[in-house]
Amino acid sequence: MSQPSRHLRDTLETWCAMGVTGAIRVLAPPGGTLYVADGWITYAECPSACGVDRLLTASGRLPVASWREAVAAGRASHRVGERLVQGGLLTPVELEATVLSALHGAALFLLCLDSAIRLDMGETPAIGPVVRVDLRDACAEVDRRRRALDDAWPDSRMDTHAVVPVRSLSGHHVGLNALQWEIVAHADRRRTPIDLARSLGRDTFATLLEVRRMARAGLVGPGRPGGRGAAGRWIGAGDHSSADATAPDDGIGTGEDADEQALEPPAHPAPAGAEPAPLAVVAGVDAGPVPLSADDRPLARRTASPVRWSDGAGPSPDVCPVSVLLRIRDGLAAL
Amino acid sequence: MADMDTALKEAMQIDGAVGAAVVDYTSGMALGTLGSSKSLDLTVAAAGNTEVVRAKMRTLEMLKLNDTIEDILITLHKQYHLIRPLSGRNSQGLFLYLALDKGRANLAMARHQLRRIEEDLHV
Repeated sequence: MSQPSRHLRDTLETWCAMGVTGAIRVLAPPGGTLYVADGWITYAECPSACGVDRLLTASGRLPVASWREAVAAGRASHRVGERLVQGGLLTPVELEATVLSALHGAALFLLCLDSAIRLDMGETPAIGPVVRVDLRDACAEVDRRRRALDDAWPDSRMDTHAVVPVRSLSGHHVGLNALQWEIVAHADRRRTPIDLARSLGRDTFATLLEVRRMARAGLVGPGRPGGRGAAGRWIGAGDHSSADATAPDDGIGTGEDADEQALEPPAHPAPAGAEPAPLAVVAGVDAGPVPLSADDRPLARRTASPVRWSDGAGPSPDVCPVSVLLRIRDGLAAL
Repeated sequence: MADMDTALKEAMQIDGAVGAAVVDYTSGMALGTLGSSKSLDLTVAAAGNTEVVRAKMRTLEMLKLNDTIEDILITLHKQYHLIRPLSGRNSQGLFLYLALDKGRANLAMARHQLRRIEEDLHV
């Protein structure tokens, strides 16, 4: 079942009222998936927001190996969350809080889009049935968050541009909370708040909010725009000119990109996951979410390898590494 | 789901309780609420009280007392509002919020019970 492009919330309202169960793929950039069960939202993911995998592994809460183990054990039965709790790695409340954080983090980007969507009936998220959120509550939370961001500091460039701490202070001292400190300590003049949230494994909205608060206090300013569409598009929220930017995924990452060190280049907002990865590369080629300007290239060169290739294809589309072609072939074969 | 719900239900069993919530103060979002009504919108209360917690934590840091908040009591003319940050190693960033009817509540008892609920919340 698919729907033509229109405001996502209206379509969702109808489907939730019908009590559908399945995965709703959002096709406009930044792309993402909302999982519903009997009309309740059970999970949401979006490349711009931290998923459960990054919230748990990149933050250092769980070792990547433990996460992968739980995913390997629970993915097929859609019980990854349950495995984490049974294995004594997380308390039920922590799991619930983390899933809610990921769900609302993705909803912030997805529920303001005008987008074509596709419903894959019957699909459930691999994390399992952890929470149930009413669509109206999710929308109310999105609206609250957007208001909170605007109240903190109305310049929305702070969300999509690199975070640049000021070089000198006008006063003698400054007080930062823990998240603000992490942001400043990891701001490398290239990463946007979305990149920083992913590499720190922190809640994306909380990071956006702290960046705007620091902007209000005159501690950080906007640098160059982020190089990826996922970071750059959500405020516009009306653009659906690109093709399918969603990646086939089952709502869970393997935590592979969690290996990234804190001081490594920013993670591109691509789905993790061993099987879906080749397909994600294909999607990147077809969709090419945002044409890169010359300004973006220095950042693009620093991103992770699949993206480096698709970005690199911008200036010279003829060049295509053999390894990537092989991965595409494998991906297509897997279909 | 069960555990947060259980904690909220237990909080609502406290004498005089009119509303309870588990709130993430990094985002201001209520992760769970019970007893929300027209006269007490717990989602709004969650977001607003996040500012209270942040302000007090900042103040403590500025004072360099090297201590943390056990709970915060706000006394209204008709209600008590109790805020209790979760102190577990892994529950950084959450607090319990309890609104009590002043006429029916026993404040000392309520604080004691809320502490117990908080301890159970992340065993």
